[in-house]
Amino acid sequence: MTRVDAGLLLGAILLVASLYSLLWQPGGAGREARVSVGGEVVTTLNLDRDGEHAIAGHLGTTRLQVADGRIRVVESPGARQLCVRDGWIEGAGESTVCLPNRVVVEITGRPGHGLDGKTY
Amino acid sequence: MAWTEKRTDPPLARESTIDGGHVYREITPDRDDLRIAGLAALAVAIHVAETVVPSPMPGIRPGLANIIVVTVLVLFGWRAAAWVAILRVVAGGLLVGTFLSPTFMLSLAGAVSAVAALGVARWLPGIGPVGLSLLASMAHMSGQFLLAWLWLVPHPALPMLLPVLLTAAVAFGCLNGMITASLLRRLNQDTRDPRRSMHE
Repeated sequence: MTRVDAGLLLGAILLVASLYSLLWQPGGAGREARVSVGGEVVTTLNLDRDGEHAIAGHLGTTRLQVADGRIRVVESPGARQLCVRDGWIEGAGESTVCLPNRVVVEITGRPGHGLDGKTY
Repeated sequence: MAWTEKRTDPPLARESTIDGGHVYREITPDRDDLRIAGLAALAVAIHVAETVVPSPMPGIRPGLANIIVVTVLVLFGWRAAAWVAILRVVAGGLLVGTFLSPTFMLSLAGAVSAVAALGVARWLPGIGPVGLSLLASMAHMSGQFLLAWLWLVPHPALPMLLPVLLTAAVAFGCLNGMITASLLRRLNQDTRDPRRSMHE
């Protein structure tokens, strides 16, 4: 191996390493969740910042939790608890709805080409 | 793998008349043609043998046939290497049964990129077989990936595979380069055609 070859090899390894760090950043799309009550956007939550948020709805308070780039409804007034049972959502375009309380949480960003929607 | 032919250099083409009065143009292969055919056959054999090897991921294969391509580049020049690389893909595709299939197209895109990269890399002063093989391997992978992404799977998440694929390309490119270097050391000095150099 000549000295030039060794230099090329080093350059190639550095290039690949930088590609890893460039292309393997967590997420990509859908890093924010838009929360609306009765059709009006009340807040936008950054999914990279963990924490709990209380949203005032028509019946009472819906509590949201953000962790590890995901969001879920922890507690919400409503007979069937559908949005709580939805669990964590994280992909761009995914949403969960607490209909009795009129609270809608959707993750923004262009959805990938994979799925048009999800149903449970 | 000693390469010996008689140095006759006959006229390139000769016209001969056969009974019906039809005139056939007989093409006599010259030294370069024979050399390219023989080496391409070797590369094809390696290419076909390699298709049996299971791959951890589509797009990753050792690419041992490229040892021949780089060896040819050093010994007989870029034109011969380009011929061997392209013939390998076409004949290999015909033999394995993937001719004109997506697999073949990806292979061809890779080979064309690698040949182009070698065309540039050979001018880099001080470059050896390892560097040549490394650059060719990375170019092969990039060309193949680009075609796959643009044409076959235009998925926004596909670039996440690129670092993994390039890691394999660097590893195998380097390994093949070392094999090439030792092959070149073992070959007789008189194998090299004095009329040819990789800077041609």
